[in-house]
Amino acid sequence: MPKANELPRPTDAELEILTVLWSRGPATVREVHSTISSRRAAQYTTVLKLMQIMTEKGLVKRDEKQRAHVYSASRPREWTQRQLAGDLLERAFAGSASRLLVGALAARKASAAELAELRKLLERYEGERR
Amino acid sequence: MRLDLWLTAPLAHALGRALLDFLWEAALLAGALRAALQLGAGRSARWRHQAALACSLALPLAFTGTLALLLGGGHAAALPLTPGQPMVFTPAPGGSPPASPADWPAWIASFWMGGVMLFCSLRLAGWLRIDSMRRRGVCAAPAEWQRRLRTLADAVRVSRPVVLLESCLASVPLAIGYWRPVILMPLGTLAGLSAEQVEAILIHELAHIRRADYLVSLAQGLIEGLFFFHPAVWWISAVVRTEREYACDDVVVALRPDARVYAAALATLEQCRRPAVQLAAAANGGNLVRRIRRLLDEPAPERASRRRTPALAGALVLVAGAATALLFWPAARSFAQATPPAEAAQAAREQDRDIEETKRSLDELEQKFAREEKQLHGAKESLDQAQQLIEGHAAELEKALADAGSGSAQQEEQLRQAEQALQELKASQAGRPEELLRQQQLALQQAEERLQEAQKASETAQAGASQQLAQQKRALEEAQEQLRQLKTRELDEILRLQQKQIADASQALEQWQGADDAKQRATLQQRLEQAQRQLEGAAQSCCRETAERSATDEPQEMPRPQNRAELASAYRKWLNEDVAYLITARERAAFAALETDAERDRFIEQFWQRRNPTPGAAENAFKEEHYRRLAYANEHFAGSVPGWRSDRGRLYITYGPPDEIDDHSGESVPRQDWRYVHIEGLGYDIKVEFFDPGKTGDYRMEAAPASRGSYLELMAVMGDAAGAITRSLKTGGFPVVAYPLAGRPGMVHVLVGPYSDAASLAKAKAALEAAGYHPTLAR
Repeated sequence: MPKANELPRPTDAELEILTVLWSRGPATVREVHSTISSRRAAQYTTVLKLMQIMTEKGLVKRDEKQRAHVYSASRPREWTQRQLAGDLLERAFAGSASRLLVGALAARKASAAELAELRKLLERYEGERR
Repeated sequence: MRLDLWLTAPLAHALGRALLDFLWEAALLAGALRAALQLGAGRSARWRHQAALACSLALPLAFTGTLALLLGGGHAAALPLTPGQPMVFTPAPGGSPPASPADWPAWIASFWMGGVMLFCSLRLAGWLRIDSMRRRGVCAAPAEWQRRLRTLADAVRVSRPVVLLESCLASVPLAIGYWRPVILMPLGTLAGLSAEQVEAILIHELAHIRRADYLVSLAQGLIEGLFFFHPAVWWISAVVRTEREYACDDVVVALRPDARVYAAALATLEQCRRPAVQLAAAANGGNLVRRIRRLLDEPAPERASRRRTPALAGALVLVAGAATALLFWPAARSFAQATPPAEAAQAAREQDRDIEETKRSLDELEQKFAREEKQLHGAKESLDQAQQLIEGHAAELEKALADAGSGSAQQEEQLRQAEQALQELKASQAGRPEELLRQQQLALQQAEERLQEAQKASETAQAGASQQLAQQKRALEEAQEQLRQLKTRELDEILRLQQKQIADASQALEQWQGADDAKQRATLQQRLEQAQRQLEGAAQSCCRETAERSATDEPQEMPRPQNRAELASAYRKWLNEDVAYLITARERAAFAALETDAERDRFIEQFWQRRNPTPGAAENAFKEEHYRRLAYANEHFAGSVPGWRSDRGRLYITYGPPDEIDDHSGESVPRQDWRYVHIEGLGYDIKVEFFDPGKTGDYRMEAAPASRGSYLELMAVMGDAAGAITRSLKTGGFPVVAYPLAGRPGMVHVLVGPYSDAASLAKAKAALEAAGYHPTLAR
């Protein structure tokens, strides 16, 4: 098995399986397949094959204690997110993409001072309502 | 196309001039938007967003309009129509053109086109990346959340089906796509926030979808790419973005009036967002503080600067006017240069006239601006006055409302005063110029609306406050419960250690009873005494600690780990109520460390499976019996605390129904005696007495009152040790009652007695001491 810091970057299909494992916790191939197929058509055997490959690559771990093997992601999602975000191309696009994003929060992360002010605002509001 | 041909092409010249004209056009539009926003200060964010959007869309219209005028209008005759046909000042075809001052609009156009290509390709790449996020690194959200999203979509009136996905690439919640919209939640958000908070965020995203903000955002990207060189364009764009978020916030608050939940959700999301992806290029952040201030109705600290803004708007308009004058001049001159000499004189005369006219119209324009600004100022001032008056009354009203529910008569009086003041203000407006009066009436109308809003808001605030009070009460109860649990847990730790010592000691006692050798007997006794002393010391310090802690810690809320605070109420109830007496300290710690609800569900299933008398079977007799006991306790033992938490409930849930209950509820101090024939780990014939001195139905487990005689007491740890002690005491002929200790689970209180006279008491004490025990006199 490769060393932890030499884990290969997951492909898109592998990333999808990892996402399911991060979201739902350790799961069997059948559980992963049923989650994926709720979003798009997917073959059970394809998912099984992919997860076997990922086990060999060290991206997931297989618990063979139970009759149905239970798989779990070998790295926390933050680690892989950092790995993906470290990509130069990804970073170049991120800046331009951020102006097109529509969502609840701004594209720029709030500074520590702003966060502190937010906390203060909420606390003061709580205090007044009390 | 060759460079020299391009530089002399009429299109290039027209583009260059149109770009220069755009400088003042955009500045004017920005000034107009600024003035409109000032006038509509009290309007909804939706109105303000539409104004900014209209202004943003007017930018390309102004530009293409100018371009069409320059290409097809009166000047076209003066320009060569086909490329390659030399203009007056260009040399013969084939030679490279000299650096002519008349080429500069074409040069500008060239640079502009380069910039547009760069910006637009970056935007395109960004858009492709965003679109890929709906497929890459996503997984369908749990069905329960999909169902809730459909309900929310109906409430927000989004008719297209919306897909909810969890994404490992999104760092903040996003709404992507117009025809097939998806909402991306960062992984962990659905489980990490409370259900209420997630719903508020989902409503915000649904509002974006309903308002087609994704399309608007793409259009904005294009406009920014086209006019990247103009700061006014970026400013207008920023206004659109800000007001868009405000408008969506308004939708959330309209559907979920407790803004605190939503504000806390935004703040939590912001805090949890991973810092790995730095989107440093974006400059539209930093408004979250303003948004939350707005949600919580806090006045912005920079309010004072609003006085200056009409002047600022005026200044902007003047600057735009000056820019117009400056730009028209060189443009006109360059036209004159570009005209053939035969027509030059004629054109020059015409253009002189044009210039005169332009100057005159500029003067008029300036005067008009000045007049309008003055009017604006006057209107603004009276609006401010009315607003201040209304705000003053609204504040008084809110205060009165908040003060008490009894103040409604007072409120009505104040309302009447406010209305009277309004009437007076209306009367005072008579006699002003009609235009102003109309504006002020409009302002008054708005003010009245605001007053009504304020009234409504204060009513909802009152309702919200009482709801919050109830919530806080619940939270306090939970905190107290947890405090209790914590005490129990720590005590358990200490006691488990001592249990071992006691076990050793009682083993030694039995050895001693069978031993012949005097010397061995002496050392064993010594060991026994030592262990007993340690035990008593520890038990006393436990009591002290518990007392101290309950004295100091009670008023404070126990610090709780973050994930525990976020724990859904169903799991909290399970942990602190359903299995409060079953769960071990280790299991509790393991449960607290779980992160997702799926994990918790699995944990709960395994928790019961471990206790299943027939493992693997679908039915779990243990679980069924436990929930039956819980239900029985809640039904029969409820008093000032829920039944499961009362002393009788605790005993009933832990040890099941007693074999015998003696009910003495008619006595002066109501009493119930419970008897268990056998309790595993505690011994045989366990008697527990409950007293209800206040006659409130709150039976408390207590040692018997001293009036029935004196007792000698011993402390023991529940389990084998306690069993051994009670057994050996009973075989020694001592009348023994063992009580589980109230408030200190795991400890057994062994009472020996009662003895009605001092002589028999002293005799029993001596006998016990001789047997190696160290009894104390019970209170």
